[in-house]
Amino acid sequence: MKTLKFSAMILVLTALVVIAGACAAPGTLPQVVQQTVVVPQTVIAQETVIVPQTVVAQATPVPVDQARAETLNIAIGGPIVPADAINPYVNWNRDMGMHNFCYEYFFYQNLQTGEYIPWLATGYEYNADSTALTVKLRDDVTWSDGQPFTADDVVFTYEMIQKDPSLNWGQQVVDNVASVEKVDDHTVTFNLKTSNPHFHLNREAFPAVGIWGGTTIVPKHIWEKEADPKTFTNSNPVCTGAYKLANSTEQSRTWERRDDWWGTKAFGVTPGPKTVNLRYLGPETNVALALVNNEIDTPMIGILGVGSFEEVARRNPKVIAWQKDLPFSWLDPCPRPLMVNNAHPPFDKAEARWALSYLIDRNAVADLAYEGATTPAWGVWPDYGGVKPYKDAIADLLQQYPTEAYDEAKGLQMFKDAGVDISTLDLKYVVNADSNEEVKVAQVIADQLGRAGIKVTITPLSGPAEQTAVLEGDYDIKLHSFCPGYIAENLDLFNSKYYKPLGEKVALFEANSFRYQNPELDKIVNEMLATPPDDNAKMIPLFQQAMAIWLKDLPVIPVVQAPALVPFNTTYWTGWPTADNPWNMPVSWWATFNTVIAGYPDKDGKWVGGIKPAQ
Amino acid sequence: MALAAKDIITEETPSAAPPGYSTLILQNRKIVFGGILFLLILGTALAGALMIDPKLRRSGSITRKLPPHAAAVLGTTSLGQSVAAQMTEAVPNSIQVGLIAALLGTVIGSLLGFVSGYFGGWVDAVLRVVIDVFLAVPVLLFLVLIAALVRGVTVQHMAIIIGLFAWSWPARAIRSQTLSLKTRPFVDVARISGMSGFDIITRELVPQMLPWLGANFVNAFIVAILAEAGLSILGLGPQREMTLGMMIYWSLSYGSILQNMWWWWLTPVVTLMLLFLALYLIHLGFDEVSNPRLRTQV
Repeated sequence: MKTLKFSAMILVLTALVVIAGACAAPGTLPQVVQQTVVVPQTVIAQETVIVPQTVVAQATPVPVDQARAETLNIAIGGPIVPADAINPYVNWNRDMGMHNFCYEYFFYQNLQTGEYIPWLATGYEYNADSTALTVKLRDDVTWSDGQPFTADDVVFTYEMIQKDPSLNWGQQVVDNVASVEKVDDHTVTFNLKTSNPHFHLNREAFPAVGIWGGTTIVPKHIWEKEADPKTFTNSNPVCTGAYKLANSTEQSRTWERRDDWWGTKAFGVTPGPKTVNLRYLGPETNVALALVNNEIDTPMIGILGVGSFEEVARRNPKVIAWQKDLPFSWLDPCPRPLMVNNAHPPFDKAEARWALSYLIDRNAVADLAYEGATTPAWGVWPDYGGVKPYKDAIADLLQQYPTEAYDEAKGLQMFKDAGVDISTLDLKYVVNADSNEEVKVAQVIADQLGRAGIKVTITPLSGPAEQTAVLEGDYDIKLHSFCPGYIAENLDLFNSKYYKPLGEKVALFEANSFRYQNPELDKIVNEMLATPPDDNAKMIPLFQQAMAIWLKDLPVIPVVQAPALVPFNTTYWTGWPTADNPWNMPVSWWATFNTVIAGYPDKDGKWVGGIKPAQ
Repeated sequence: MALAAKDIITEETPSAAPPGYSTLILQNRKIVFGGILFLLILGTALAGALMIDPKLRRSGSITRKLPPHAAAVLGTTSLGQSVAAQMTEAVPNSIQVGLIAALLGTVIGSLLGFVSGYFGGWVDAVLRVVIDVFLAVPVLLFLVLIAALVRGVTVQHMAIIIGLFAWSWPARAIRSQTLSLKTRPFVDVARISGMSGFDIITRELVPQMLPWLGANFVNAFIVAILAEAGLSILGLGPQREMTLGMMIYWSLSYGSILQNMWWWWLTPVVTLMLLFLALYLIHLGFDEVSNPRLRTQV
């Protein structure tokens, strides 16, 4: 017994000594530094016995051969849970290759160029009053098992969702779509519940990807055999995409290029990488060193902070980011407000939410947690050019309701005036433990509230446990991304139609897991949704009316804009989108990433982009 | 009135007599050196807590990423906190985890070990199975699972979670010691003279094993501090309190090794090493006191 414990202790001591020794000399060779991370990793693995696979992944020799040159390695922020289920209607981890490599969508939006790229479809048309949308599908698309992709698959998918709205994003489909009809094998008509000229942008009810993901069309001939789509693991998915699943564990998932992809025949294009690996390497430092050592081509969002990125770029000049200088990041369209549970007293009162808002120093959050990679946010919209006229239109309202203001004394006074004794508060701050970003922000915000005298209990959760807690409203505060970032759509997130009592799952995290209800706002938002999105003359006055209510109520507290600090390693792959060459969005976790890897045809049929082998 | 069992022990087995332990402990150089080192670490942290403004523990309270200098003797973190101020909270908290967990482990372990060993029969059969089951489970795996379930733990929660798994080895060892001791003549005498089982355990057996319990306590202390560091580095530690493990966790989260902010990660690592050294010396010392064969090597 003593020997065991003693040897465990010696092991840890040795490891610590090794770290100390290896790290004492700054600027050591990358190979030496590599050891510094492998060692604590090994110790942790031996002690806990739960991460042996990390060690295996780590121990894989750095492939400098042809195989490496044909592989795209992406670092992910946390383990893949669950690893064996690839069901977009049950599992939210679609960005682990499910929607970026396997399934494909009718249209992709390129937010950088403003293009609406037809992919599985060739075009769409609304009827006169925008109550029906007819989509023409390509006639040369096949599933990975050789079966043709047809209107039957589309109709089947929508009927499956209509039968069980509790499927992921199912409620949005039910709210928007009355029925889907097959016109012919390659034509479908979406009959809408209301006049909705925004429907082709609604990723949650239509297979078009603007931000992150879209409604996923599944193969009828596979899924119709399943009695309940909810229990279907789909561990060997049949998709239309250029990649098929080769292997999946919690630590890594491998996708292999299909030589029989329909796109190769249709466009004459083969995506560069033969293999795509999604790998969980552990903490930020491991990912940084893997980038330095060319083991990783790009990490996903929120893994690398500014300080680490600067050090990586110094050691490996082949590693680039969107911008050449601080803040290095691409502006993600989904800002990060702090959701406050409107169903938990005292935050059922707008005064209490405003008081909390005054206690948050957004500049400090941007400087400390994001190390200067972002800026404070006034609302739940990105600072894009298209949003500017809307922000300008409510300038006077923003003066009356300063959402970016930090004034501790005023916040405390407001709590007092609202009759809240802050010493009795103990806020449950739920944090996604796999998000480096959320973990860091939580520390700063909890410190700021703590300084003002409010106790905060940080509860880090991961995977389905975190998702359930948020969807059921089991939190007081929670930082979350607010997508898709469009004017009307982001206001729609506050619509009471998404409201569910505490304990019941809402349809989406930011679609009212904070339990806000205001019928007056609903009325205006519904009107905005019935207005064509580019009709600014009609939209702006509606936005002013809506914001007069929204700012007064402040259902969530704006904190910061979302920086996507996403480094790209140009050692093996070039052609990455950057601020100098902004042909696409640099986001590997979005479904649009397949247009980054393979490129896409522009309006005139000319092929744009695609990453290319550097060697 | 029954014969005092102690008198007989003293006559028959003088080397096992309890008197003299305190002298032996105080004369043991390893215990003295380890003890001084331990008190030095704790004392520095407590003295630091009086001298350094606790506000400097908060994020944004001081310029970020500064190497050690006059205003922050141990430098500052990427979050704008003073490392020295964090240490004044982390060291006492880590020691607190060790103390509570070791105390829990030793008390539960002794109770079960003595009862199981002394009473035998079905009590022993049942307890032995329970002890063996707990011995067989990989403790750190369970700790990770429990800590992952009870998210948002405090320092005390952590200590209790670790302590609840720290009793099986002491229980097993004490049980076998008790099995051997209870067949010795002095226990027979005590039994014949009418002492109850409980009295025999507390008045005859416990004093016999005090130095051994001490060594075991210190060992559990070391293991608990280590377990805390391990869990915290995995991100399962107390989020709103600082411990040595959480300091390493945060320094890793912000890539301090990569960015050569050695003062941030080296401070808790060296402190942990010194704590281990101090406690390990004490442990070795106790071993010598309880095992006369080792004493010549002092």
